[in-house]
Amino acid sequence: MPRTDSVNRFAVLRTTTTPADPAGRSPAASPPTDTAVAAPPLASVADTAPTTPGRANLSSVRARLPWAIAPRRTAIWQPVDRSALKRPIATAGAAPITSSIAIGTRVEAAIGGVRIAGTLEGFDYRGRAVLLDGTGQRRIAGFDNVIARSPHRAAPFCLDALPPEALAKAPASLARAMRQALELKVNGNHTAREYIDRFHELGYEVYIVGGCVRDAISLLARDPNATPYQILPLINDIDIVTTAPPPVARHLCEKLAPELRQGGVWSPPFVEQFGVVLAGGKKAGLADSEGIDIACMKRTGIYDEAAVHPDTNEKAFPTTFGHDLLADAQLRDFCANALYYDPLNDVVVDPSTRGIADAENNLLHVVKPQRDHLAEPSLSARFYKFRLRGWETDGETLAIIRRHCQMAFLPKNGKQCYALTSVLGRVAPKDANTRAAVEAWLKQLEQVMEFDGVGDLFRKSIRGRTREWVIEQVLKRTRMGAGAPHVPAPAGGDA
Amino acid sequence: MSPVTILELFRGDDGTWEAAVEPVRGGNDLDAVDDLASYPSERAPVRVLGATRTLTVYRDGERAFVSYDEALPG
Repeated sequence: MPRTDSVNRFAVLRTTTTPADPAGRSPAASPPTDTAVAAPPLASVADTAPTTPGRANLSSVRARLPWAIAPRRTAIWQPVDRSALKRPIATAGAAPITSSIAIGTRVEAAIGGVRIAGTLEGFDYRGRAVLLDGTGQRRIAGFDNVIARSPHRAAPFCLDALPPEALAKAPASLARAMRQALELKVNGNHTAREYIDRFHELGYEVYIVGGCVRDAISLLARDPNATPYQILPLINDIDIVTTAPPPVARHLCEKLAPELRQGGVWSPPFVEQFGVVLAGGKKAGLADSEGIDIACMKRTGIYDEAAVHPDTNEKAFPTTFGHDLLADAQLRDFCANALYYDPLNDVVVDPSTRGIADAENNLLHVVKPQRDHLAEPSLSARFYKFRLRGWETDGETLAIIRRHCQMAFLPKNGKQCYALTSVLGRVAPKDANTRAAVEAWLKQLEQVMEFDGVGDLFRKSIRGRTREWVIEQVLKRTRMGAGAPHVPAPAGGDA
Repeated sequence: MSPVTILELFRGDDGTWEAAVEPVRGGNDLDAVDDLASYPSERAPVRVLGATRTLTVYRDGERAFVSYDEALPG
């Protein structure tokens, strides 16, 4: 297994395999894999699980996953009994209108006095229905105006649409640590638990996402007997993702903390176009709480320049939201960062099916290799943030990163140059708070990029004035306490 | 005094200030300053999402920024 204990921590593991394909595709139809983990698939609960009427077609879900094989997880991860899963039921008023019709349903809507037929794609940043018309145009209408034309059902519980291997029962120590973490204050005197409970009361799903789930799993792989008290410090930054639209999230924050200005929400209203509402913490002027990042579950995340949409006459980024954890995961960078925790059921959700194994083994795989990664300015910088912690990768991901570096580390204009310095400022470790510490970090970054065959790009770009800008950006952020949390490299993984 | 969310500026290829509007995924993608009034400022043209408007530009050494809400009102 690709543990870093006995190998160079920057090693790129390459094992070309032609594995069996749990998605049922013929070997000829499967893309060649160049994977770091050539382990047999998980016990195939998926193939024996009874089909529940109304559940999504799992084979079509699997066909959306890029890997022909799921890597092995440690034995602490047990399958989940789906029939026992609790789901949020609206107890405070009507069920959410955005969940009233399942995505993919044929619908009709009156837009500008004309009846438009299309397929429901999700909802926009104001909670309005987004449908694709017959010409592939993205049309926007109030849900009140939308009529289903094909047999439809309400949007399914997100976990129903995932294959069984995407769900794993949280070990007791992790579940206890999560429960304790949710009692920590995130916004003034309010706890994360209060926010989650309120979303549930309104009928919306909520999952804890990202770094805290990844780091807790990584710790449990190194020490399966870790106590909740050892895990708890890793869950100090709670980000949640919800099926609620951004205006609902903002309104909920305002109602929950009426004693705080705007409910402690400090993100500008414009940022709701990205599906994000940020409350509490230092940037809200509440230094005694950690803050909570609330993100809406995305289905598409195209961040071209904002354009005026003819249906709304608003200048907005064309992001669509919905109830699809796999789609949300595929808009994230690496599988280990696309891990979710369901606080209602104490279940770890791994939509890509390899995030748990990657977090356990400190491996970097892009969630969706076929995506246009060049559109994300931060991908390679984030990749190197983890490489500097001793994480490993595979040939396919490294090839993507090398292409990305050609764009990100060779800026052609002021905007790209700004993006590079800004992004490096964000991924520097929190303790790089002196010039000498930043210089040392840049030296390490150059070394690992050299190892990955892109050292020349580093040397061409991070020099002269750009180097000074990077140092300034890093110091600005670390002195605000905004750098990336320091996570030590795994034992034995010295550079 | 509540912190104010800001948008950093960079010099576009034609020398005009340009706002760096980037996708926001979480709190780490946005910056805030405690007190805008403590920074020297001037009114200057700034390109925001392709349109140029005159905004209050704050300076902090070589760094320049505008208030997010002035540049991109909800």
